[in-house]
Amino acid sequence: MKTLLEKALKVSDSAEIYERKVESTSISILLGEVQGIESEKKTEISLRIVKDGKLGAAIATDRNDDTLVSRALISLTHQKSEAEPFPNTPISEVESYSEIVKEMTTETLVASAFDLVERFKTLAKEVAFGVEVSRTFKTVSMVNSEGLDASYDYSNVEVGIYTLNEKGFYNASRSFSGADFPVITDEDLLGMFREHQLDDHEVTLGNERLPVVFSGSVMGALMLRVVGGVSGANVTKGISPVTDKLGQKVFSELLTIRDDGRLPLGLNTCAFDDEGTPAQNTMVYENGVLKNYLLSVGHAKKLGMKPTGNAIKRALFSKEIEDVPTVFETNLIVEGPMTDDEALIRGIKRGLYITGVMGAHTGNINQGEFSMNISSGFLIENGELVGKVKGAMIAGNIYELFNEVEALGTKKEPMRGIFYLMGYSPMVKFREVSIVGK
Amino acid sequence: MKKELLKSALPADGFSDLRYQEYALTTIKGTKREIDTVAVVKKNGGNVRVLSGGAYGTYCFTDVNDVHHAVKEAKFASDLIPGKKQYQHVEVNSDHVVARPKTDPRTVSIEDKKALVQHYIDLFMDTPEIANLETEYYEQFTDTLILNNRGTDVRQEELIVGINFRITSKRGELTQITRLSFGGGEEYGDLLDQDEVVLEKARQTVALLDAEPVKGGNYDVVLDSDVSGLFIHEAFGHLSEADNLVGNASLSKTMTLGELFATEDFNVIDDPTLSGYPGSYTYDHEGTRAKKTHLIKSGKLAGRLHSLESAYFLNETPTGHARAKNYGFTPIVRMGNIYIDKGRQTLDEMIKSIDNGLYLFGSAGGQTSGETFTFAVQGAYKIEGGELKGLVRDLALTGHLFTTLKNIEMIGDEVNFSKSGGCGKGGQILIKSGKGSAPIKIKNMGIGGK
Repeated sequence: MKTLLEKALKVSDSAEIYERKVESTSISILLGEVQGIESEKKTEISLRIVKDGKLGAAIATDRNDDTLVSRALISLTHQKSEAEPFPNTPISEVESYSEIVKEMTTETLVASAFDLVERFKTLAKEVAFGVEVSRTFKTVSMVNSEGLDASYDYSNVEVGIYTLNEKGFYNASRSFSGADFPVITDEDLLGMFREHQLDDHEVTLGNERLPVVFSGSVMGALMLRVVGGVSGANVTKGISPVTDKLGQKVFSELLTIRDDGRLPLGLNTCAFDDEGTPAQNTMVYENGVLKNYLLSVGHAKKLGMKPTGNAIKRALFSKEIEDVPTVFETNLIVEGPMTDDEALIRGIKRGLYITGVMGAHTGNINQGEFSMNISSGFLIENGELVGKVKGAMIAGNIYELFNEVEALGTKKEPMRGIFYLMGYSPMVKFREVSIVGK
Repeated sequence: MKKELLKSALPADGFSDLRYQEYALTTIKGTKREIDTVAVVKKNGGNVRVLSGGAYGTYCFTDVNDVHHAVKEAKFASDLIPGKKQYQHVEVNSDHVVARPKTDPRTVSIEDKKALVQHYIDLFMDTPEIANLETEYYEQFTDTLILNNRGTDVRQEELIVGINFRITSKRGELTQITRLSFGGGEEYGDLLDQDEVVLEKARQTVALLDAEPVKGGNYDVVLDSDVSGLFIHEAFGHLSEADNLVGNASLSKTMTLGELFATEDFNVIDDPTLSGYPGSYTYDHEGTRAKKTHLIKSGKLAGRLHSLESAYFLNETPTGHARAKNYGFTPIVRMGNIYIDKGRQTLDEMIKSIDNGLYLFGSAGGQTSGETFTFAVQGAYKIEGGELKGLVRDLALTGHLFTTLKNIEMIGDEVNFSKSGGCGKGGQILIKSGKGSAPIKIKNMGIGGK
């Protein structure tokens, strides 16, 4: 990497090399049969250079690609940019990988997947279901001309399990994820099985306002909008609804939201972000009060604040090497006063428990708006789940909805954004939400 | 490309294939008035599949010298899978497909491309009340070698160029977002001389600020070609991708060929062999020649989209629809250019037939899960007494596939294709996925407001 850095410095004032080596394996099992095993071994390199205060970037899959520097110069020449100095802040170690997952072989992964298959089969007998397990091990290294020379290892295991209904369509599902092999309890599996059984108890709703509980997983659809609001990119462009609202109460005092890149063995834990800023534990909303934005180096400079370690090479729908470091969450954590999950549901006379939505990616995300189909939702009557809601939609704006928080559950689930998991949340109960039914 | 090295790595027994791809992407992106990203991306890699056991073992690599290791690992994984699956017959092709547009975007200078993009940006941003604009010029070129151990040796260039705009108008606290796309084929020329289209979109985006929010409920609706295309992609297209049926006997039964799904005027086709649209190509990423495929014929389920594996599983013929986002991904069954074929009614007749309903225009993203689907649209006109009236905003639709298909009452007499592709199945955003349609009338459609 240093040779490439020197080569880049011949045509620039400062330079940075980012390299990631990824190995991953995933296995998919449907109705007890393995559908396939996919693996990858990739090395990807990204170069950023600064010259006369302007920034340019290029990527390659080969360190010896002799067009890399010239492509970075094309980018530097043509794009309007205000380059900031590359950071060289001391990086401290974080627990971002598990030795067991690092050493895990394909056979072990297949055996783990079949363990889960056998466990669910014992609990749910005749139910048709599938299991997907993927293991990733990654090493990220960065050097820059300011002296940064750091690397970290990252591991992740993601487990998904889903059932099929009688017509063969997806029914209930659960996801688990962490740097270590996630612990999956019988209670987790039984909860999914109970939801599966409600598929043939169909209920329809009218246009009504109801108390609604979002599962920890589905909170991700709403948290996408929270991240859009506190993203330095949108704040500096003046298109965030919370521009100039630091220190103000924006959400219910029951709601605290942190972004913890240092969470031991978390699903997105890293030692530093993709600009080389050390990962941090950033309080975003504390008891509903906006405390911080999530900031890249450039946004921090514009706002006179400090970068938060959230500049990540990804986009809403991709995690490609060419994605420009953009503000995204690391491990977003939703927390607050906890209520027992069962007690939370039991306390609802008539309401809705939502465990799946579609259309999280549509609408004006940065403004907090949502209008989603309830793909998996259950009517609660007198504290019991009585049937599965079909054909209903839920719409609103998080800046109103998050003032309607009544309670948070206890068990944290990985939150699903659109393609990717974004942190952990318990179930959250909202006082009243508009439902469009039949 | 080190073709001989790659070829030598393929094992003789069982079935195995290999893709090696050189990938290039030029993007010019703008925010508001400024072009803030110019990137020329180049990356290469390969993807090997071996079927020696019960299912595929696959392995992706970026260093071509890893190919023997990749094959070994893929075979090891396949052999771990109990069973032995073998394809009896695989279509073998040998060809070199070269992209030959009239004006090749790769021959146009970055300065000229930037000037064109900036010109359209200025037209939008000079319109009062246009508050934000996200612009992306993209030019993706791939040169892919597809080999298998039955003799296929296909090298194929694929090129797609276009500009996408996401336009936001703002008045006080109210914002409205629309989208506009040019291109979507190989021709740089398709991006030129679009001033009128830009100005009309800018006017429409501002006019939506005066629109009423839609009242959620059920309406008789007419969908324009863009929205109908999104509807057929989300609601039915995904279900016709036969990899969903592999290992899933219940779904195979639900999707029995000959089943009556819609009115007898209703025909759905997927055709990658049409030229000039986002989902146009000659060979899929398994080296099978793309075939025009009737999915619904006279209202009945008539066919489906296949990979080698799904065709083998269902004992049908591969249709050439297995494609991957890039070398980093395994091919899965994807739509090429899906469309609802033309029917007999004029748009005017459809609108006249509705007493109280909506005419929906402009797609804004959708999703499907099994038999339910949802999608957002950019706006709508109210239809009252058979006539178009004022604009309404903030619309999202949802429905149950089989009910909605049966509720299609009229089909327009002209097919149009969208100028931008895009589909996110399996976490693989594929820009080369096209959609089109004649306008359609659907009764009793669920519309969600805010």
